[in-house]
Amino acid sequence: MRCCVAILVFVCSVASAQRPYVVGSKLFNESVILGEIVTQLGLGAGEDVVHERQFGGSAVLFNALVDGKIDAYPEYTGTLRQELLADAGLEGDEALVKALAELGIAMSAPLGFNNTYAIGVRRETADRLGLRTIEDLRDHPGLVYGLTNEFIDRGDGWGRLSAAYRLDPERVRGMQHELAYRGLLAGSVDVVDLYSTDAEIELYDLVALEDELGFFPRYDAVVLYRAELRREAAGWIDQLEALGGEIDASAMVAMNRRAKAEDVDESEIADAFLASNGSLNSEATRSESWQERLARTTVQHVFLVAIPMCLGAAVAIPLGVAAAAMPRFGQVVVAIVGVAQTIPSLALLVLFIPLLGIGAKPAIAALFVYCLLPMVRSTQAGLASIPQPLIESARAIGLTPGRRLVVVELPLAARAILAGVKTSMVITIGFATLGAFIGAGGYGEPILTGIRRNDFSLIVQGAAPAAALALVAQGFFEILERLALPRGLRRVDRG
Amino acid sequence: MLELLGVGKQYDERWVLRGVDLRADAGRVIALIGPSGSGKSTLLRVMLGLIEPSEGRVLVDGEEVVGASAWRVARRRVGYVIQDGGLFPHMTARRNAMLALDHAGRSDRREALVRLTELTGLVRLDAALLDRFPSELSGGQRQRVALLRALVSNPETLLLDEPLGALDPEVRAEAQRELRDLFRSLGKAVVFVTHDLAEAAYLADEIVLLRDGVVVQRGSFAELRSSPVDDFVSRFVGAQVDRVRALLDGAVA
Repeated sequence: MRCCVAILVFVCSVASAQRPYVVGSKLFNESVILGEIVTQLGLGAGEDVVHERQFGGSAVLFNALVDGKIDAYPEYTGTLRQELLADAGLEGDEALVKALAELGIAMSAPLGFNNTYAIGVRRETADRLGLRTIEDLRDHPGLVYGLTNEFIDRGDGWGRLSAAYRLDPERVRGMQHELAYRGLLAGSVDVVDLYSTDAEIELYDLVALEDELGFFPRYDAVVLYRAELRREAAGWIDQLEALGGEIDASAMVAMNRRAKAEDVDESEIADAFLASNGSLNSEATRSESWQERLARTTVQHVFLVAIPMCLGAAVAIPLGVAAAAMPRFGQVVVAIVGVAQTIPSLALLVLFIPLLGIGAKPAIAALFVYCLLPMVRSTQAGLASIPQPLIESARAIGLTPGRRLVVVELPLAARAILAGVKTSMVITIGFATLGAFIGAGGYGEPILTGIRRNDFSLIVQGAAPAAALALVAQGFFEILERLALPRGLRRVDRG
Repeated sequence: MLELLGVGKQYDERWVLRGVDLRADAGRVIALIGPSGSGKSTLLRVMLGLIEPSEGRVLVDGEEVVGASAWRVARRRVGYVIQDGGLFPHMTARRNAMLALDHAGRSDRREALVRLTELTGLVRLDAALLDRFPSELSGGQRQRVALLRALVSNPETLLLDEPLGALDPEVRAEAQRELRDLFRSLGKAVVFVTHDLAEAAYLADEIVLLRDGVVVQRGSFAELRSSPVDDFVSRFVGAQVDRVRALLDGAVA
């Protein structure tokens, strides 16, 4: 218990310290590269800036910016119009800037590329059939379309696109993005939907057909930042604004390809880009060695597990005792705790964001809720399984209910309770990796980065220590069981 | 002294005990006997306050005991032994025995420790076994520890529920002899439950025969045999009379 208090004090003191500027980025390569560029410009301007990579999805980042939890992040105008500020029905860029200003947010000049939906074909197909624009597809209804299900389902997706361009192909298949690319390479698919800055365009030598009708909304890349930064960090913002128009689509595609296909670290990609662009002042961020990352994520992960487990045990074991003593109440408790357990883990994490914001706090809260059930149940079951004659003996001796619990019942249920804590701990260690999705750090972070970059070794750098930690925890409990269980109980079990 | 006056117990409309009067006096041994379901174990639990009677009164030393906290105090004057001892597996025999003194002050505990040593002799338990856990003891040894635990707080009344029920037949005869000697040397009020008429006849001064929660007849074995009140009693006694004779003859010899 004392250790819990110490941990809480530590966490609070860390949280309240003077913090550097925080740049966020979304869960995919392009956003992380842009976030890294923004960060390096800040460092170049002499500011103390850190980059919280793959901080979360659009809504998470936007809300964090509005709340001042982060200071800047790369965004797309289309996302602002269609999703984040969709209710406002904003038409031109000026209306957008105005709406953002009311939230205390400024928008940089467009960076120079438009990452929207596009329709792509192999270069060979384009050359052979003379395809340049989407309209050109109309004359070749025999081509096979492999479109993502999301694109087919979207309101502004395939249905309206085919109507606008009067396309009527014979075969349209809904499929997963990666499979569509495979099909494209194998020749079983001719036309795919893609994002106009996908690394695959360069990787597979594709042609993005022109959208002459302007059917797809514009997703111009911009940087959003807290308006006050203009005053607080003018040098940085000058540099940011100077970035306008400097990144064109082909430059972005090339950078995405380096991250995706060559596993180059985003900070290196950003550094290379900025170095080649003499007008911008930047300072490279140093990327972590794997040992440093392991040390950092281990500390984060242990905190993510230890705090909810300490709090969870402190709540769950008394709850289990109460549940065993009062069966009616016990049913209610187990039902409530059980329902919490049925919420998909990722959903549970996200549910706490509105209450606790982003980072370790909502993750700890979700893990706390999640770890209760095994401990409540095992405590209850352990107490309920004590043979009736022993309970009767304890009563007959004249022990008070409290003494009975402490001297007789809890020791007899100790093995079951420990087993519940152990189960809970192993589950929590695994579940805590999901904390990376909401910026809580831990072993989930390299896993998430690895998935994004298609980098197997990074995934292992998160998954292997998580598994090892679970084993260590398991071993710890085996030893604890051996030491803490009275000799009489151990002998009974062997016999 | 423990006394029951018109005690009855009802579970959902059904009476499992009805109108039982019983008086346990110092130096007397009473056996509660009857077929299974006759209410003999329920009766014993009522005498210990583990079950609250639906009607009637329970008096300990002439005072009626009602409610959980009153019973907790009253129980200290009553020792209780159940089948197979009901010892706590996570405690040594010594700790098991001394747990009954949990509430007591330091001087009482010191006194009890002295008594514990005396009692080990009385129940014929090797004192070295006190540091063992129940799982490291034989069934007979466990039973002796259970007796120790019941006696260490020096109660006036001793209640036993099938005290020898868990023992093998070969050690049982020996244990019965020891138990009789023990009852005699203690001079306490003793009430025990058994399903074995021979055991009841051998150990008890008075046999209380129950059927369907009601006392059918009470008296010595000779009285039950010579003047049974009804067919049930004569059949119950008749079925076991040979074994009773064998045991009583063996005791004489």
